Amino acid sequence: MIVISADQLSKKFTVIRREKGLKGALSSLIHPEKITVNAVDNVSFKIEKGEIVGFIGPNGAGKSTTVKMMTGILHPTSGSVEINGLSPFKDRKKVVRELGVVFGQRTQLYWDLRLGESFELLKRIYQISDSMYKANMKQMDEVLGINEFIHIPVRQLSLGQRMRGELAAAMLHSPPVLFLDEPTIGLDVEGKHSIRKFIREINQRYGTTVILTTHDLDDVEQLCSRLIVINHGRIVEDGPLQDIAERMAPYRFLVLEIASPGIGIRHSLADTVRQNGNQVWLRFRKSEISASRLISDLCYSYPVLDLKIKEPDIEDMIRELYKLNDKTGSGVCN
Amino acid sequence: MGAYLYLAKMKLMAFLTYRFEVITSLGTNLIILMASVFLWKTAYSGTDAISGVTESQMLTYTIISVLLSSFFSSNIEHSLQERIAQGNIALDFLKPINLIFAYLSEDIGISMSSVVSKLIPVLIISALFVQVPLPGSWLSFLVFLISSMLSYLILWLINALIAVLCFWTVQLGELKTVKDGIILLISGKIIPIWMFPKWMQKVLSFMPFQYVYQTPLSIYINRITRQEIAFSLFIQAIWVLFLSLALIMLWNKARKHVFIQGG
Ligand SMILES: Nc1ncnc2c1ncn2[C@@H]1O[C@H](COP(=O)(O)OP(=O)(O)OP(=O)(O)O)[C@@H](O)[C@H]1O
Ligand SMILES: [Mg+2]
Repeated sequence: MIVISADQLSKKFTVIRREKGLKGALSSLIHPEKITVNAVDNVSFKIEKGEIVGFIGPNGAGKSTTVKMMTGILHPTSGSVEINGLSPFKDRKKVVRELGVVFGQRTQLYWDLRLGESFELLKRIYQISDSMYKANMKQMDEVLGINEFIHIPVRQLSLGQRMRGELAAAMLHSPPVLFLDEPTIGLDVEGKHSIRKFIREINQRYGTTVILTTHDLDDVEQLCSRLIVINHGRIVEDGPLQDIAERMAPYRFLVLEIASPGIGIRHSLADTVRQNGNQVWLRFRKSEISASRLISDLCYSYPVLDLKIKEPDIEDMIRELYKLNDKTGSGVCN
Repeated sequence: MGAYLYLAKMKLMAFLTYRFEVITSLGTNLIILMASVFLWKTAYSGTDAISGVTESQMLTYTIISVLLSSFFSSNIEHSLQERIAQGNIALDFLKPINLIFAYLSEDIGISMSSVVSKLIPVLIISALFVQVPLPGSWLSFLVFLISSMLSYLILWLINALIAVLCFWTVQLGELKTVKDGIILLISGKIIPIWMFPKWMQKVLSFMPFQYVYQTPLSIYINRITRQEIAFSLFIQAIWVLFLSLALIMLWNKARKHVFIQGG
């Protein structure tokens, strides 16, 4: 079942370029120089129920803008979004009931209230029944440990505590769709771990569809069944991480330690890319030969003492992806 | 409905804990009260009545005005400005509630806290210096309360209309000061409009400001007849309606602005 569908979604922002100094300020007052920023450019995708989709891309790529349009708080310049077949603009109140949203850089909790009071307020806003509220609060405590700091005013919470509070607040009314814009930003190892655990758990237990943006590739590796890479407002890759890796970096490396340095190592389906002293690096394609086959071939012919397989580095791959697109077109035009 | 009540209750609780504000506002209110009492005592020395209003009526008017103004506080300009400046305003639209009602509920909560923290202390302390006059009858007090509620709404709507301009200007600055000045001068808060020249009275009767202070206060001191009371309440209700419509229209424009500009 398709939960979210974006069809040729675009967002252009008009910004006035301000010149330096008084003269510049005056001239931009009289005839302002307007620049159009193509924040999101013709983006289409469909998201199925129960998917965890990660949006990644460099700063300013258009991730947050895309999330804002999906949640209905930003009008697209052209194209359309549907959530469960409804437009988030025309049916705002109906659609937002079905959504949980966290913007990691902002807070939706009441700054001067204690955390628990924000929850009480949300209970009334979403008209959550007492029994449901109790059950959900209990679960939030089990996974996120919120009872520890539920009596502290929000402004006094640590970032990690606040983020756990934000997640609990977003999920209190058990929405079937959850949007998370950088939910792990600025958190320590433990904080990230508990948030990932929470996301996995609600996804498995309730089949919640999760859309998240992040700069942390561990989030992607540990959570996302699907990755959408966006750069300069365009989708450059869309698919499971493994598939993208396969396409982008199809090679793996076998690193051997051999008995004596002088031996030249050869194999018809692998390239010897480096050999220094006792260490030999061989590059091979998964599609051409399996690791076990290669290892057994080599062990048969050469005195191999030790070996390890190196997977392609995801981070390198992503960096390549970001760079690749810098050469084609830029997001700003006049 | 529960959500709006809870919002009001939360603000009420939150503001009751601001002790310092209680003390400072008590001080200012008492000073204003004393100053106006002496002003009117001086103005009335040698005359029995000005524009048909006796000295004791005028003192009542002044005292009740100070009490009303301690209740007529609204926070919408501040809170909206902050939400817009920090870019959080767009997120408010993610909640399935009516935001205008939510903001109004919060301000009602704050005003309720003012009853406890400002109105009652001012009432008690001023009772030590001057005799606080009671209303003529329960019925007239009830009518006064109704009129005051309409006044509250008129004032809140004016503030909200100004606050919504933040969506375009970000900073309100001078505009708020000008508005506060206007309210001080031509709402009857300090000087009743009936003491102004006739032509000014005429002009001001077409503006909402005098219906904020002068109308309920005139009812309290029994200056106007029953017929005039009914007519004043009617005009107050018209203003509430008109300003509400204006606010809704401006609010929808502001929403569109946020949804296109990204908050
Ligand atoms: N309200 C706005 N007005 C003008 N330009 C905007 C606005 N919001 C975003 N932009 C521009 O749109 C582009 C995309 O921004 P967006 O916030 O979507 O990026 P992002 O992928 O979320 O980046 P980051 O990883 O830094 O959060 C940027 O060039 C940004 O400057
Ligand atoms: Mg972002």
